Amino acid sequence: MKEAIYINREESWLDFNYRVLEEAYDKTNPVMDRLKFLAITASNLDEFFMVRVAGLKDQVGVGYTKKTIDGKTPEEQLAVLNTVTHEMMKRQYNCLSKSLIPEMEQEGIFFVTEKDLTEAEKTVVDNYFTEFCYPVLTPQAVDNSRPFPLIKNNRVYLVIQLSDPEEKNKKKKESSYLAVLEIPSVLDRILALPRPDKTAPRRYMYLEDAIIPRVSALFSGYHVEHVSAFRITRNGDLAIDEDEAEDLLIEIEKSIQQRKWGACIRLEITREMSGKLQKTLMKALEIGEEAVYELKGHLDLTCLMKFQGRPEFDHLRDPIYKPLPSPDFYAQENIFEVIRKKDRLLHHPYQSFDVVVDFVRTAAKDPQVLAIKQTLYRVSGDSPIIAALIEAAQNGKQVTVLVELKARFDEANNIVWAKKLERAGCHVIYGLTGLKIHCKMILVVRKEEDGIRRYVHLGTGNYNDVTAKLYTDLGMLTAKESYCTDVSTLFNVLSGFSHFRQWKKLEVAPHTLRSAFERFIDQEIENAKAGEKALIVAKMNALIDDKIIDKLYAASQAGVTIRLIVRGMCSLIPGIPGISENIEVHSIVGTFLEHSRIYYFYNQGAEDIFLSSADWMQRNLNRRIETLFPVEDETLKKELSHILDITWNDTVKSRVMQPDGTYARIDKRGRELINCQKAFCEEAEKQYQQIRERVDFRKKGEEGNE
Amino acid sequence: MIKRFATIYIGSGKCELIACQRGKGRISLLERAEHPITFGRQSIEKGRISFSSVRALNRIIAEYISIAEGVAVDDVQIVATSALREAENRLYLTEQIRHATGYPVRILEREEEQSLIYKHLRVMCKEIDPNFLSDRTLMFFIASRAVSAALAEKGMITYKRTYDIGYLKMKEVFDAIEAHTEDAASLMAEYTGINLMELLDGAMDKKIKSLAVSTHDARMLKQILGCPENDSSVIISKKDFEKMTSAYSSMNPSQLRRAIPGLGANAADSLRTTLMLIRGLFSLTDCETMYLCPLSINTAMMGLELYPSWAKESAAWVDASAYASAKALGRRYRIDEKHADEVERIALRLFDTLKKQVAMNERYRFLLRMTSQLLDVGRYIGGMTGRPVNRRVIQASEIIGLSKSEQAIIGMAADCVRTDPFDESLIDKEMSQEDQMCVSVLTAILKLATALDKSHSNKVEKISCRIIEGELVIMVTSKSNLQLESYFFKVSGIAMRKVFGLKPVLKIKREN
Repeated sequence: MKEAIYINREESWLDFNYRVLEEAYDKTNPVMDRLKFLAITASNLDEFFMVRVAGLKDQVGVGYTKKTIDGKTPEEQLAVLNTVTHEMMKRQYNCLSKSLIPEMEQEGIFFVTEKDLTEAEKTVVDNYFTEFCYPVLTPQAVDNSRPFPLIKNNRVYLVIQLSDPEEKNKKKKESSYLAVLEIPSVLDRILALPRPDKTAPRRYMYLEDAIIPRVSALFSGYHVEHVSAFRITRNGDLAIDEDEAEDLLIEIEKSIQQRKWGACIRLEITREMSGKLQKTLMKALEIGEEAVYELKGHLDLTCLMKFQGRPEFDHLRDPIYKPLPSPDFYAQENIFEVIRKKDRLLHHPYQSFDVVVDFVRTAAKDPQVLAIKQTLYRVSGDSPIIAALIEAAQNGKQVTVLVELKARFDEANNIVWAKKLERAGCHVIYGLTGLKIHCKMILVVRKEEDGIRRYVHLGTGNYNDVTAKLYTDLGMLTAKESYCTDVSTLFNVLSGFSHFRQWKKLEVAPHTLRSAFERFIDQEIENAKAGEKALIVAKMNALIDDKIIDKLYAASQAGVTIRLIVRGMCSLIPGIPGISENIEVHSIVGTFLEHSRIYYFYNQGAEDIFLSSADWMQRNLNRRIETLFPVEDETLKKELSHILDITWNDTVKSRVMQPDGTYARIDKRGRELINCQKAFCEEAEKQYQQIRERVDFRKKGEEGNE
Repeated sequence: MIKRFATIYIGSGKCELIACQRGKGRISLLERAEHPITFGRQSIEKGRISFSSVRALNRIIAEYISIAEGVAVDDVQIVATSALREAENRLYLTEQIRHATGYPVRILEREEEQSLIYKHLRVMCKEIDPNFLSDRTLMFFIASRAVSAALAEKGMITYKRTYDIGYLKMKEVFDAIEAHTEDAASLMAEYTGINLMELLDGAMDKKIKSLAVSTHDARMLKQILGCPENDSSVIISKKDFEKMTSAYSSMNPSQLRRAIPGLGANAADSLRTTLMLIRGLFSLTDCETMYLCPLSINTAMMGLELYPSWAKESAAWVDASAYASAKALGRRYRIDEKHADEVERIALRLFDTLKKQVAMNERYRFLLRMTSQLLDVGRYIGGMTGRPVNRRVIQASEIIGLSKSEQAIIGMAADCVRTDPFDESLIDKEMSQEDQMCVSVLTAILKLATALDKSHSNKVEKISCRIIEGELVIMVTSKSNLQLESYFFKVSGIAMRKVFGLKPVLKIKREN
């Protein structure tokens, strides 16, 4: 059966989340890092429900029955996912209660509830409730005369069952009332209780645990019968009719408003909730029993992300890695001169993203710069890049910014920046109808002595200075005309005023990228068939495109050696006799999120290496504007080969996909322990030291001469 | 010196921007963009282009100007061709564009456009084959409104003909055929074949050894043929062409669009016509290979701006081709070539003397050469009415590099030369003052020149001229009796007196 050679993308995604969860279980990781991994799995799962599960439910809702490559209908997939997600959430809470909380307690960190509080602590909590909580708590009554209140997506609520003592004579059903209360998100979810002295254990309390015992203060005259927490997840997938959307900006704003009202996909409740209350909620939220997740602990584990980051836990996690300056740009005065000399590679987060920020910032100030063009997909809350672009526009440069408003869950943030840029005089363009602009490009046009020269940054990751410290990504800076012409032409296409699509260096989705990949793979197949060495090494976030998978299977059958480093979803199964025995799949889950996309083709020794913004996914190849660009400088090619080698040979954070689709840790026996992310950190440190010494030595020499 | 230049081309199916930089011996492409428009279709179907389309175009042009300004170009030129040229309301449209963008639109005349395409085709083919045009070559281009064929012999174009069967025109015909005929494919092929045969009628007397085609579809064809998708020309074999395009040969535009992802509606119409025409050309010429070149007015314009030496060399090639075409046309009408050459020699000597006296540029000299060669093309067909028909023949012929007004000047001068005395009433008063003056100048000179070879015997061996005190003194040396020539010289001198105010005086030196 053909289906047996593919893994369902949703199941594969959950597998990935399991691999992250493994990191939370892994006792070789410091406890707070483990807590962080747990929070990541929770946040990932939230997004999974909001997008993937919601999408499948929509498909079932409209009667769509087309099977996926692994032969499952949407309904069948939902059934499988339901079981897996229930199990996964159970394991998340097991991890917390059985592994992490005991370990935290060993470190003197305790979570307490009302009954555990000392008198002094009680007073503190009372005061906190009165001063901070009470003013922001807004209970909403539920009765027959009012509709069930709006329950916001991914927020923790309390449901309170009340009774009126004056209606004693009425039947219990008639004298019982319901109210819901949102746990305010403006307050910290976990409160730190004061310590009597520095040696005392650290005690923390969940906000709802402080509210529940005092909730009666909100309902004077009523008796609180029962309180329990719940949380819902709504359909978060944006559906914008772009053909009708005259102004995408307005349409997206409307869509964000609607997101609060998306259909309810999941209901999380605590064990304390009574069956009756559960049924009431299910009815009110129009949700089936299968979507109810009863959890053994506090709801919403994503709050642990903030908690683990508290400064008092610095000793309980690996030190936060501080990206180091790129040796190419260290102590260099003119960034453009450095790029002009030769192409430059940046490996984040080992090398600082500051170079990219400086690139835009310098361009903004440089009187020789005429224009800056940039794509923005997800930017940080206080993005220095945006600030630089605004400055550039104020300095009279022609600034064109392509803001992808449809970057999922970042739409609101993008609109704010887009408006700010517009006000500053930037030419802001809001994407193309039907296509998300996912490519990462900056173009700087500079008038130099020998004419116009353009500088380009092409990357695999977003222009986000915050995630650039957490995600592994690669970027290339070049002044080569062929690249610059392509980028310039692509910007014209993205602005919607050009249909010219002829590229010298780039391959661009959805026009040429897929055929380019197919061509490169075919070329390896031809070489293998001719008895020559044939090798493909590809690193990406996800591999679920059926056509590419089939091509890779064909390549494997032709004798091409294929090494895939796929962080997340992977629908390809390696090691199937006669189909994929020449394919190996690794997945790395480490401190940093593996995000770079590198594609290597041996090509009769020419060793073509490309970087890309695209994964091997249908959406990247068919429905997005993506770029693939070759790295041609021999030094940089060696550098990238080295990155691929080290990553492939990771023995610590790497998992190997088995022929049954499961993942197994690498057997470390007799093998050198290599943690690729740590290795890259050390290399960056070494390179930085070397360049610093060299620069210091040169400076001293110059001072001596003076 | 660094020069940056942008051209915005308004064609039938697209508006295109190219911005380039020339400096330190190299040219770099700075910006390129194109946007589909429907001007050609509107112009053909309705005879005019809607104002709303022009407003939309203005937005595109404004964006392109902004892009060009982003790379600090020294100048932006907006050029338009047939779609705008043929639109009834072109004056309104060009004014709207000028008003909205701040730049005037230069509409290329038909002959100017064609010369540009042939110049570009020649240079693009020479890039891949320096021996291009060394054989008898058929150069062919397919545009939205028209197709044109030019025969090149010994490196020069000697014959050119244009038919209004470009892809937009063909679409109308093909649509009608498809709507009313069952066997549409064979009828369309027949229609294309007949038109091609008529078009190539004057070029098929000898075997055509080489074929070069310029088309907007070159990029798409190259993709189908598995060639790199760039702006270069390519040589493809008839075998490969037929093999690779056979699957598409009987497809209609919507089938083509389904078969070739990313193919637009305009491009599909165009591709169908192009495939049919190329197939027809292969079949008619028996050529085994074809040079395929992208048709790009914008690239050609950019070439003129940024490669002055190319511009000069190409202009000289066009002039030489025009002259070769004139000679070929003369041969076709069985003129006395030796006489024409003698008249040209004498006329040029007179011109070179007179130009010091009266401001006359090199173009006058060129037109004089052309007229010398075409003086008698209508001589043997106009005898019945008694009125000369040179003008009709010349104006009905296509000569590369000659504008309509230049053809009118030559035709009129040829007619005037053949009337005695100088009949000024023949000059079309609708012509501009300058053109009328040019006709007079050419007539005055050529009347004397033809008089001096009245016997068609090339008797004048040496000739020298001087202007002395209101007289144009012409000294000729001859071994022959010049009595006949002397007589006609006297009669023809009236025109010289009228136009230049000089009395022509002939001095003959007899040599034994």
